Amino acid sequence: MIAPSKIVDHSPIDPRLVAPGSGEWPARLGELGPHQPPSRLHVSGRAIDPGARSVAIVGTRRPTAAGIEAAQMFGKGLAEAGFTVVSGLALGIDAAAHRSAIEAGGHTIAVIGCGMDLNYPRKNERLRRRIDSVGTVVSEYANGVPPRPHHFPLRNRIIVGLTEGVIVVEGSVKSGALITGRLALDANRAVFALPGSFRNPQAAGPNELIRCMEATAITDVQHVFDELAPGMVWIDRESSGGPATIDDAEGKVLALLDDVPVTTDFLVAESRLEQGEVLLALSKLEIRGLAKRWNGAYELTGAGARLRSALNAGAG
Amino acid sequence: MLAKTESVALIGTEAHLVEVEVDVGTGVPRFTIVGLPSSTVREADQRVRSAILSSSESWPQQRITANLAPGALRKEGTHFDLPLAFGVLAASGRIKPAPLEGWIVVGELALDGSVRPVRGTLAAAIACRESGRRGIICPAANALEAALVEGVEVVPVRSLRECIDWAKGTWTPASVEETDRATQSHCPDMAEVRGQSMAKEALEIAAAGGHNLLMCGPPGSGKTMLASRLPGILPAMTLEESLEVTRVYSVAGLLGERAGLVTNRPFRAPHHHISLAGLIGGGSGLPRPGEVSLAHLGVLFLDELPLYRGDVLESLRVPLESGRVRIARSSGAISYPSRFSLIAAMNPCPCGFTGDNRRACSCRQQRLEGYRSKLSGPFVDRMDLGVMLSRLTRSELMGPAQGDTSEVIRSRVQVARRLQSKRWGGSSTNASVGSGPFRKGVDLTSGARSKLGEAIDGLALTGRGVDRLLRVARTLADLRGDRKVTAEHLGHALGFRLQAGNLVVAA
Repeated sequence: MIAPSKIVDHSPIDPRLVAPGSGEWPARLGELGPHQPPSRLHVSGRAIDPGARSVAIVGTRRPTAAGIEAAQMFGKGLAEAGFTVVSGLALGIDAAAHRSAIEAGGHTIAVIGCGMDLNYPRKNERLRRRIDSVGTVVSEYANGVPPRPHHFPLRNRIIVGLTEGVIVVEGSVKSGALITGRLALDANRAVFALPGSFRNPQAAGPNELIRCMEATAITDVQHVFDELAPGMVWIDRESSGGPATIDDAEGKVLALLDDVPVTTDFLVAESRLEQGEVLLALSKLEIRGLAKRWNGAYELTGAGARLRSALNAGAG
Repeated sequence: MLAKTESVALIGTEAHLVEVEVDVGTGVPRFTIVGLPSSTVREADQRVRSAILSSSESWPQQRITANLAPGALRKEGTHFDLPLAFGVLAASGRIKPAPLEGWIVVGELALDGSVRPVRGTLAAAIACRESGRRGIICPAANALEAALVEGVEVVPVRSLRECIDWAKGTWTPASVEETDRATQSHCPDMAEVRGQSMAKEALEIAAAGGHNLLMCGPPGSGKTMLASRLPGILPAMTLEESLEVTRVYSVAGLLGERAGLVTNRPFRAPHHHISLAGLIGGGSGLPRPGEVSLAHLGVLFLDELPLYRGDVLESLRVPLESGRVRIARSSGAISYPSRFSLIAAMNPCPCGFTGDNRRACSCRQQRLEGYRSKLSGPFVDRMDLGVMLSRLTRSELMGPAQGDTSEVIRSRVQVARRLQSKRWGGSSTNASVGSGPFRKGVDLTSGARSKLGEAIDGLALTGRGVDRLLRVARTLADLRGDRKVTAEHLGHALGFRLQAGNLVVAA
């Protein structure tokens, strides 16, 4: 385990203690079903509003571009609707959810698995500072307690406890995100899972939850509202206008793109275009945000998928 | 009596003339060498004495003092043996000093009087021409090297006895025979590689424009196999380039007896356990050129990049940027040329399955971060091209190998290189030319200009990213023989860019 470094700040981190009976203590934290609720929490940053609506977004530390996009969509949509977005400050999906909630001007709570004075994971240090200033950081552990592997499943029960529902975005069948989903089930919370391609190993976790009928499949922020806030309607402020014109090569490439990254070699072989033509088409799609380059391979973005279905509908 | 001969001291790939003065006079018999000699030079006294005695000459039972001038310049190497022997013989009246005037002498002596090869003969011969000396007396094993320099007479010698007879005019050296040049090394053909057309094209671009390339792919995707075929598509070297490279190899002592000129573009693939001195240059005595200099004007291939030591990788930054390495010593810094194209290969993660659609990566997060943290941002910033290889599909594995042969690719690469040398002058490539002249010389169509603007906005390209993109696009245009860079070239080049925050470092 990488030793976490101390968070060095202008003022030493001195979290306040929040225990049952305190004005910041959400009652639902005590309702964890078979699991032991925490006796108290170390809290820093913005006060927790026990009455606020809140949802957790959890997922893998190694997401695909589609996973990041989904975490951002849910994080932004829920934060704009006034939900507090809770996650675990891990790399990948967690970080994307926290960031998008902050960018949407909402409240986010990061539940960490070590003492509040420790900087872990180190790569998220800047995000941690932002959450410290505009959001809330919560831990069950006193200052100086290092992040031990067994802290994280315990940390996950607090994530569940703070929320009304958990969205599992991506993760393998053995991932911590899946553990969190099952904890939420035990605690009688709503569990949502984002279905993914059968070819995407990171979609195996949420797909498994859906298969076992342990989670509701969601592909849209509206689906969360339907369950937790009936009557609320989601309007994506950034939805694009009419379908843009694309040329022949772009159309062929767009038709071959998928939710999981496909390699350029595959696109060249399948489209029967020259390598240069394929790369040109990809760069045009990418510049317009219709495709995303990820680890040297390409996948469809939400905008790309919408355009493709619009084109298909037009052709049909 | 005093006698003078001339030799050279090597500083990097430069040879500086050194006057070897030998005085034989009255006093207690002993042989002293002064003039800042290193220990290898100081040991010359023993070799010279035995070699002279073995050559049926007598050793003067007098006080002998040798001075290597200029005295402030540090002398390294064993090539002072022969000039010192000449000096002793001339100063003691065994041979006349006149025939030695205007000759530069280099050579190491064995105790039996035979002459052994030395490092840096080519540099010595160049110094000989530049200073207007008549010729060079050098070991027969180094004669081909010396003969590369036109207008310099070469006397190849095998033993001290031959040297003495030559000075007496009783022996004439055989002329140096030219060996046939241009022996293209045999390496496997590009056409044998199945699939991986992106990687093949990336290698072609790298070969044509001298670009740096990072290949990332799971084990078994063919990274090493592809790189081993790279020498077959590298462009031929011009005579000037060959001389430049030969000079480095001469100083490194790596020229074989039969090889006069290095004609094949260097392809160096050091193992990942290489030390800092091995890569950059160094070692005791006369600092040897490292792999970066041996790859000068050619390719340095680093397989399994993250397995190299962190400090070793970091040390590549300066040569990558400036095309030279400086090796600092207490006696002063020397520098070797090191303008190479870096081709690196790595797995996406220790287990190799990140980004694979069929299997999930099983690496622990810490291990993954440790693996990737070796590649610092500035290092990745210097890679012009990035390509992700994937494992071949069943149809690719079972289908026929396809694509152009190495010979066809090489002819395209040659054309592109010629266009570049015409545009930038000398041996400059699209990758190596300075950014000032590059921006002036890169000719964009108006379509390319607007495409570039869109790409900067849409893909958040940085200044350095734009520069690398334009260089790669320029090479693509050169490969097609186009005078101007078009929007098509730019779009094509975008597919090869390396995303620092993505390909190598996890989001």
